[in-house]
Amino acid sequence: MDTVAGATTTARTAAILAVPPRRFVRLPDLRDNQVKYLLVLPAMLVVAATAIWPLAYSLLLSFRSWRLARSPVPGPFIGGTNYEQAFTTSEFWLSVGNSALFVLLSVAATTALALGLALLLVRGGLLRRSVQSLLILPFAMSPALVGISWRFLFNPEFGLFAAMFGTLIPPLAGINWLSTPALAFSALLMADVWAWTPFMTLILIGGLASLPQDTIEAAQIDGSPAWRILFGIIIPQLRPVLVVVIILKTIFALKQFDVIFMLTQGGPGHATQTLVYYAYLNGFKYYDMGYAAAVSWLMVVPMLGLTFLYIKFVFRRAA
Amino acid sequence: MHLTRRSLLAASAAAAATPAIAQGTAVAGAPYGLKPGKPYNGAKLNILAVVTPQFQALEKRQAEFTQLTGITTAWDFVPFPALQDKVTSIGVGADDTYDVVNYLDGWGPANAHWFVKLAPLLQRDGISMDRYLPGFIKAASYKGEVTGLPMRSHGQLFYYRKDIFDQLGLKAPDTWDDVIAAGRAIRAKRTDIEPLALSYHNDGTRQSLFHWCDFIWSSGNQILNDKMRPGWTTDSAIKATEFYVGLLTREKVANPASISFVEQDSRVSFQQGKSAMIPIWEWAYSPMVTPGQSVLTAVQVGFTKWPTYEGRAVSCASTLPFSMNSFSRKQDAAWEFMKWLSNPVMDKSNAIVREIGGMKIINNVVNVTENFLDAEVNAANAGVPRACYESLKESDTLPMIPEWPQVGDLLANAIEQAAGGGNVRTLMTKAATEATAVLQQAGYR
Repeated sequence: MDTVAGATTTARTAAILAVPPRRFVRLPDLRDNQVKYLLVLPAMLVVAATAIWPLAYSLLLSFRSWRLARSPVPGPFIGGTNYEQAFTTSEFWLSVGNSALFVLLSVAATTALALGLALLLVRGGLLRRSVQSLLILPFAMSPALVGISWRFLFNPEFGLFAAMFGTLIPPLAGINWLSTPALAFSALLMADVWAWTPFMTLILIGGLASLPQDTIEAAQIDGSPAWRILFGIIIPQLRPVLVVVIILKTIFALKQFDVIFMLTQGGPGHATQTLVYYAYLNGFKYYDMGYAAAVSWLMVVPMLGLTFLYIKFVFRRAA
Repeated sequence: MHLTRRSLLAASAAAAATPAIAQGTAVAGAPYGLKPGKPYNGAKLNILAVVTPQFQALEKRQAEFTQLTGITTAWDFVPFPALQDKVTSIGVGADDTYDVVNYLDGWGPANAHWFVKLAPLLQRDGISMDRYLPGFIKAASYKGEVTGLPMRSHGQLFYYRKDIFDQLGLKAPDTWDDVIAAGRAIRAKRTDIEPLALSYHNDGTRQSLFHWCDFIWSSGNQILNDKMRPGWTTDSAIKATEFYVGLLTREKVANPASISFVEQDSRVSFQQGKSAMIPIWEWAYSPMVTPGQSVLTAVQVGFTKWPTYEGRAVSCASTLPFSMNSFSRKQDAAWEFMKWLSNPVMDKSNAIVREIGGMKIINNVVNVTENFLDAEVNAANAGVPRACYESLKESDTLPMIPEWPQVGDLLANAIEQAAGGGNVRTLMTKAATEATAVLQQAGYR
């Protein structure tokens, strides 16, 4: 039995040895330039098809005449006529002014409120635990839903705000928020700030939590007043995070569309018509695709500048 | 056997349909002029339509169409404020996703280049557009060519709270001066309700112009004159606009919220018992008396023809036609669908049968002229269709030009600003100057 077993073992060993050594596939050198480009190619193709091509096409379109109501295909190249038309149209400049004011007020109000909330919540405890999850809600809501909800809230007959302001601030009783330019603009700002403040608060809570505590504690021991600690220590140290918040919010405010579409539709008159809404009107309501493309590209310029700043700032910090 | 009103209506609809189906079958082998032999069996059509009970009811009837033709359909319902964008995006992208599209008449000219011209098909299959009122034919055509079939056609009526009018001893208004007088009486004696719901806000759909244009036409003016130039700056047109805006700013009989109301807001205000009068389309009767949508019952809702201004009442006719997408690769099957969808028997049945496929639907909209006057249709809808027909006798449509959305927006913005306290003449003159530039740029010399 042993002999047989020994013979079997020997035969098995011989068989194993008889098998030629397996040839392993040589893995490519990941440092190889060609391979790394090959790996990112699918992603590049997707980006090119969904972002770069439409952008390039719209840039071309901005130099062509295309009245969709007259022709299903773009017309001839007309040079910078669409851009010239924008610069000489008062409605365009009105939209630029509205956009600038909206961005300024929206960024300032959101940042200030977010900072205040972050300072309140950064201490932790029950307040933070309960509020932090609630903060996600406005940000998680679809912007179109935000707009339509606020339109209901401001409804002069059924709206919560109409009733609330009327009760709490009697001079505001009976005021129709969406009927006058200044109030409609304020309503739009309120909706935007409400939707974005929570997200910015969460970013700032993260920033505050990462600040070194020793300088703050030292100042507290020295008896520095709270406002001095805030403006002299916390805000300067928080500056990099604040800059990111401001840049991001500026980009979001510049391209705000959904809430305007649902809440005010650019009105009353043109009071809340921003550049994005103006481009939309010309493209999808008035069928002037060439002009709408030109207006959109005029908006791309500041957006690209801001994006460049953001990338530069974030990556410099990371480095 | 217990006969309910509903079963009677259903039976009469079926009875009405039977001869037509039988006749169609005897002549061509399939009813409604459909091709016999199911040549497009297995085809699937995609339909884009506005959200409305009328079309939801038609969707529920698709089984009949599939049984007759072998064609199936998938409907996408889009809310009205988003419909124009959706239709435009099909044109921009030369998109064949939808085989049949539904749109507001005023957007038709701008999209006509990709709508199938229907005249040859209508002629081939012996369908006459004469079955529709002239206003609806005009609204479904561009440059004299039929591009769509009127499928949600409207005329305007003046609705009022009958119970309040009775209580205050008021009679249904014949003129806009009567409306003002009734408004003053309501304002004086009923502090719990606003007299008149209007909608001055421009929400991008230009619905606010449907009231204004009536004043312009009734005053003998045109929105665009024969030379395609603004006609709203003559003295009488300015006076008419001042009158219309003055219902809110001068006479103060309009609900103050009207300045930020769109059509839907003003209708909801009436339905919720917040306003006592409203000039609006005939279709609004259904939601006004539908429990769950309204606090009112049929006995509280009265209606009358469009009030006169300066002794004349020219109201607005409007329709949301269905057109065939020329980018579609299933145009033949789509035409079968159009024939089935628009046939007069279906039109009538859809306005009298109140439950389809287990779904309760109240719809009082008809499109075919004979159905406006049909006894059964009127019995089922409190006589609203006949009143609508009377209102449509003297009516017009908004200008059917591709540039109308832009020109209309200029007007709607001016009117909204005037309702906010701006000077009517200044604003309307400015709108005219800007509209002239748009029209000139478009080639109207």
